[in-house]
Amino acid sequence: MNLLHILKNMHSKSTDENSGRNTEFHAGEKIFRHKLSRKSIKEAFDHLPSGVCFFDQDGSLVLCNITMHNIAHSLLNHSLQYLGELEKAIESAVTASPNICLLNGVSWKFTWNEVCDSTRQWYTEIIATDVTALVLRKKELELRNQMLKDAQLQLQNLSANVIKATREEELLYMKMRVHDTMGRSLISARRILLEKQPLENTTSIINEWESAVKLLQGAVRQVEYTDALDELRQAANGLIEIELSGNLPAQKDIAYLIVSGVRECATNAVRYAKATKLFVDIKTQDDDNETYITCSITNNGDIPTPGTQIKEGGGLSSLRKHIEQSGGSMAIQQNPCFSLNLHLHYTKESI
Amino acid sequence: MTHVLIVEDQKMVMDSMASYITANENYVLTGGITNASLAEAFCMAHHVDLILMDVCTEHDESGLEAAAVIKKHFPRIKVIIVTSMVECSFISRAKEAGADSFWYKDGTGESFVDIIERTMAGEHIYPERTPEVKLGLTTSSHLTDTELLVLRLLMESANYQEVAEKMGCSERNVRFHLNNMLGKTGYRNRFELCLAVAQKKLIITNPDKTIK
Repeated sequence: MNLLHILKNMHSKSTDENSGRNTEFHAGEKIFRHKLSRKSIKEAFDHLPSGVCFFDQDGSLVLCNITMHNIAHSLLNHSLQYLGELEKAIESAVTASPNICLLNGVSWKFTWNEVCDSTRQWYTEIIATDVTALVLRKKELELRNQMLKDAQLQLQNLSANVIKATREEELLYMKMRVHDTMGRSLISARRILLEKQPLENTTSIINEWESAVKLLQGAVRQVEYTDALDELRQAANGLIEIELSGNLPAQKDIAYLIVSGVRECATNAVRYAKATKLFVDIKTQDDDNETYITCSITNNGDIPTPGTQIKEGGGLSSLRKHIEQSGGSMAIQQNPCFSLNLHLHYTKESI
Repeated sequence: MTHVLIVEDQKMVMDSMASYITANENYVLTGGITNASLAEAFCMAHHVDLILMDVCTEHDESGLEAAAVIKKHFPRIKVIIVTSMVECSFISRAKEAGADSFWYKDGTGESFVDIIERTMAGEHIYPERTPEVKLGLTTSSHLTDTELLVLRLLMESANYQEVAEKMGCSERNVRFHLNNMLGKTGYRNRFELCLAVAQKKLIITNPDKTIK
């Protein structure tokens, strides 16, 4: 049952007053007895908090309450006459949210309905509802969500920094241990010399001192690598010969992805194909903003048996995910021989 | 003679572990690498009996993932996971990877040598639990596994709905666990709790490059 129908029903009820029937309304503890008249219906209609108006099929205004009259005046700068002018004014005044206009600090949401009365006459009903509180609340929630997202990002950055901080703490702890060891050794040596103790008592001190010096010198030989591929060659020394055609890209993350592919292929080629050589072919294409890399990795090992399906193990699956995360793609070819093909790209700014 | 590989991205820490190895005539240092993903290739190219494996290595490569690969292809090689982070998931993940033992770096040198010898003798040595850290009014041991999972997901995800989807439960459930944790710890809201947990390194989101 729509508003027009209710109003018309109320109007027809009010005509019953001529036959002496009254309508009772209850408000709090008081009981009012009112006679419904056209005037009282119009008064109630006018005092609705929402703006309401009706237009006939030609678009001419039939009925409009005071609230809608004031809204239309704010939009049009004159009294409302036609449906078209109101719709046009609403369209041009609408804010970010659909069908919501901000007028004099109040947000009005407009809804359209097609209604008909008991005589089958059709009217266009436009209702304007005050949604100011909802709009403000929505803005508050959007702001809170943004704050939550920013806080989330800060938390993730903190986690990344925690790892870095932990590494630095480890290093500091090691340095303090070395410092304490050397300090302890010095004090003990001094005491032995001052008290002229036998030399046998110096054995443990000398051992401690030696350990500390070794630590400072470096117990493990420091190897310098030119790049990640060189590091792989050093680690896999003698396992498989890696022949590179082309150059690793300047973008370090992309270069590392390629070396990860080479590493996976190297271990799989030795394990499954008994290969002794790995061939890495890198081709680069530049345009204005991006560099495109195509990398093909093959080997001199056994050719996969026709019909054999190569299953991606943990290493290749993980590689695929990292490559796809970077916006690239990976494909495994089996015929005529095994080949891992990588397609990657990066922007010049990312170097 | 036991051939040892050290996987550790901090040179001084690597040297410290190496000094214990070289001081013992039963052990020989085969090499040291800074990137855990190279461990497999190294073991294919060299004779290795024992790996001392850090968790977070160069290029964010995971020592836990590398340990799983080593145990799959070289089951005879012993792997000891070595870390200084009290991240609560490391012990269970090390067990899932098949690592033989687990050692926290801030232990003493003597216990380190003891763990190596007992591991080579066939024992599996794991701490009973992650070291306890104080969290507000309580300690980390008073949080249940489910609560820790909710906390981890809240630190990774922006909203309750995503967390609920990942856990296969309702948002209400997620909030219930969060409220329990806030009640135990005395923190005022989710962010105070997450910040404290991150600062204490009890949960580190994506500590390694493991794709989850």
